[in-house]
Amino acid sequence: MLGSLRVSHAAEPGLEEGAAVPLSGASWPFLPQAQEEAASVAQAISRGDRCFITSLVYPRKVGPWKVLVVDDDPDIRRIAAFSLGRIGGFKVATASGGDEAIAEVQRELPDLVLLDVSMPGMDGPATLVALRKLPGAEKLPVVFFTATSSDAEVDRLRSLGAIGVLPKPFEVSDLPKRIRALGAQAGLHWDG
Amino acid sequence: MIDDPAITALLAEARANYAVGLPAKVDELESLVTRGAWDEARRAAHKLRGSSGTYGFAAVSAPAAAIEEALIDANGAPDDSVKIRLAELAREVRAQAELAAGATSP
Repeated sequence: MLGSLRVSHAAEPGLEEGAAVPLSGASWPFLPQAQEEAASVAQAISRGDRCFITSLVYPRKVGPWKVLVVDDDPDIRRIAAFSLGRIGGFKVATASGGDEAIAEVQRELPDLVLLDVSMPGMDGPATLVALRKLPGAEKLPVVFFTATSSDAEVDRLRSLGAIGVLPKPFEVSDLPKRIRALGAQAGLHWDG
Repeated sequence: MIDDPAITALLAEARANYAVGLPAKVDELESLVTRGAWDEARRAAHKLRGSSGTYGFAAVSAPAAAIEEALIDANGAPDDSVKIRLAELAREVRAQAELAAGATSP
């Protein structure tokens, strides 16, 4: 996926150069990482001289975010998919456990994963670790949802690299807003 | 708050379908407790707590949560309070399922 930028050289203000910015699937639409990539391209264009990015155009993502819902409970998968898909307008994929989640992420990288903590076999934290090892998923935003809501547990889950922790039970009409807010805080660009 | 009547109707249908399956979930939980399969019972109570609350059955979610917590605290065989709560849960679940079935019958 390519964006474009123009760079002005600090030593020669009249000299501007442009380039396509290679935005990897891992960084887009995760804006802070995309901006880091743009900065490194600008450094390459200016051959290490001081420079300013005078314009930076990102490609617009087509369609809403794709959210992967991972839960061993089919009732929760069904209602979360209903909430996010029918009410929130997200694209939704589901997986019944860690192995299915890994296969789904390898098949098509989602924009965000909503991951249950307590699952038999590979639980949520173990699934997060496994997902992080997949190419392109190193910075994939992950939100845990859990019926356990102690502060210590929430802190532990955040320390694993989750961008948020949502309680279960959840309010069906409210879930899309919460996911959108967490994604935005993490730098995801909403274009749904 | 959902403004779209079509979505409200679909949500009501999803709740009714869920309610129809509730007695089987409680039967399973009762069976696990009777067999002394405490870890599995805790997991079943945990799932029932989360799913029933999400589908709008707070009156089911609360006793399910109480059972889960009692099983966590006991860390093995619980005292009789779990059986009392389980009986409460069974009564509540069957009442909710009957209400839901009545709401969906023609």
